[in-house]
Amino acid sequence: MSAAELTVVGFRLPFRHFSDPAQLKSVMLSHIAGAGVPTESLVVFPGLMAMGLLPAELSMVPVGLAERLRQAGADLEASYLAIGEELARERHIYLVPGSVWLPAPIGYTHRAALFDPEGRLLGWQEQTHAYLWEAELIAAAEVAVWQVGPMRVGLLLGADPWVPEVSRVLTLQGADLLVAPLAPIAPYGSARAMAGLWQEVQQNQTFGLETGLSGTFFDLGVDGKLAVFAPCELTPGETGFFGEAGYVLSQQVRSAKLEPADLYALRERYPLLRHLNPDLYRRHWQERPEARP
Amino acid sequence: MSFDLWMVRFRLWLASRPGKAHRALGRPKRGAVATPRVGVVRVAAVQMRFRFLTSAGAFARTVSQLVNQAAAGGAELVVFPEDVGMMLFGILPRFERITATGSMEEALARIGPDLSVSSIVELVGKSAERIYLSVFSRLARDYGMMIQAGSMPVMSRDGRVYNIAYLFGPRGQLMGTQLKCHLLPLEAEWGFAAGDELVVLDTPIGRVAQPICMDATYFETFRILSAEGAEVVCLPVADPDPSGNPFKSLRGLWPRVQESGVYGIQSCMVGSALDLTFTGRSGIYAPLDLTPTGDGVLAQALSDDEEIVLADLDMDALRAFRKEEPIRANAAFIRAYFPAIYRGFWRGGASGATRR
Repeated sequence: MSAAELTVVGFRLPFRHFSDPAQLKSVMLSHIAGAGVPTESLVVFPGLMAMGLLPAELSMVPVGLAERLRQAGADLEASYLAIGEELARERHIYLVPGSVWLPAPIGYTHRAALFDPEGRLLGWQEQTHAYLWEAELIAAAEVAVWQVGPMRVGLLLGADPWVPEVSRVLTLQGADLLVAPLAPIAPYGSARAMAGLWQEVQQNQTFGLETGLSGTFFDLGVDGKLAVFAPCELTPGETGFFGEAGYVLSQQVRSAKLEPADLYALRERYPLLRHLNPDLYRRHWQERPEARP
Repeated sequence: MSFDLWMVRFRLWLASRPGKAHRALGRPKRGAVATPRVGVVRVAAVQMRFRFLTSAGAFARTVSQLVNQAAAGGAELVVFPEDVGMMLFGILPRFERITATGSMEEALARIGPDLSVSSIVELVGKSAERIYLSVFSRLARDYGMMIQAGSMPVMSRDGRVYNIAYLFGPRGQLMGTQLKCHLLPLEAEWGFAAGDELVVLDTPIGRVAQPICMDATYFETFRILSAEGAEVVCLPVADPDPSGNPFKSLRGLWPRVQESGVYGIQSCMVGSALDLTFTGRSGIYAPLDLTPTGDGVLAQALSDDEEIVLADLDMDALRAFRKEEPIRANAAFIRAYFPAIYRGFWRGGASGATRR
């Protein structure tokens, strides 16, 4: 692999329960091996996949969720971290092992970790915007960007791909690639999906990777999708999708080689962000704080 | 000023006298206006083919035909495309010789040295604006409807050229204007300036805004308009992208409507002028949950040619939807980043640190 490109690999997988962390690790490992992932790649599993370590009889309905997580998920964070660290190190890859709901002193948080090829934790990202039904979710107020090979990467969880401020902040902090490990509640149609990460990739001129959990998640239906995105100008047929146009539903894995030089050339050729109008925004946000979104 | 230039200006002034356009319009021809339902507004997006028009009468007849069609469909608000007023550049004497060239650059070089599009706006703009305003005002009054008159480039008193959108009320009154706030790179090359204010207007159908084309590429426009109470956003468009790619067209109004919980009416210019080809499909959009098929589209043009697109906007349903936005705002997040995140992009700002 050229030092100037990054291979990204994403999965769309049905939710399942695991008897113990070793079984979860074994399943993840088999998917990585099956996909023939090169070293130094970025591998991203679906959101909430590791929640399969919790007892199958647990209810995920929103009311009282934080308390149920507190009682059932004492070891979840430690297991999630250990699996991520070991897999990243053993396969020498950058890894986002999906995401997890973790109990907090009040409510719960939705978090995903990013590991480097030495198995080091580069950092956590928490969901910053909650759906109305996520009544007990504690939303974070910060987003971070990490260096992953030749690119800078930001993570978006839950509702965040539908809140354009999040992707804008990540991009203005230098992100070249936006990654969303999702587990969207069904039905999750193409129109709703296209209004999410695909759109953020277009309006910020970045690459994007969306992975998804599907099937039955405890007592909820989830309907995740899988796609690698780029600005239309960088994809075949100008669709904004790497590979065939549209979301991958028939396969479990999708990979693409992303070249940041292509992105930078596009930004130079069509400098979208140079025509931002910060004076307009500044006046609105400073003079009309009551009208903030 | 040379005598030749003075003569051109004088001929333009003569050509722009309102009587010429009004005579071409003749007696008002009211459409068969549908009986409105309470809380529901019928709107029309006009997809229009670009052509340079050489007289006030030709402009009046062209526009009036489209308004008449929209009125016959029962529209209470009609939206025209971006740069409608630029069609009036055809009133420039001997304009047909200019347009016989291949490109904008060649056309300008034929007129004189060191000329830009801004120079043409300076020369013809006032006369064109006079015709444009009088025609749309008269049509709005004649049909008793609101008309968003697309836009036209105008040289303002500060000597800068802005792309300006105009909204007329049912008595023909000018309800408000909107300067384009985000330029196409091409417009920046032409010497146009960007506006720095977004306006929401109280109208008989609800709170209406009229940003222009590229403004919809930036979510910030719609976040501000929505926060200021906009319910219906008219978007005049003239997209000089010859590909007509349907995916690229999803990067404008449709996603902004989904992010902001407003109705959106997009009116596209189609056809060619000089070396520019305009593409796009006009459409009327709503939040996904307010459309029958869940795709966010209430109506869309079926062709790449001139067409009127009609749809009903249920204002009560929109207001109910907005009371229950599906995603909770995060004030701490906004406070942490906005507007500081744009530091380095501020025009005239000292720091270029974050500019890519």
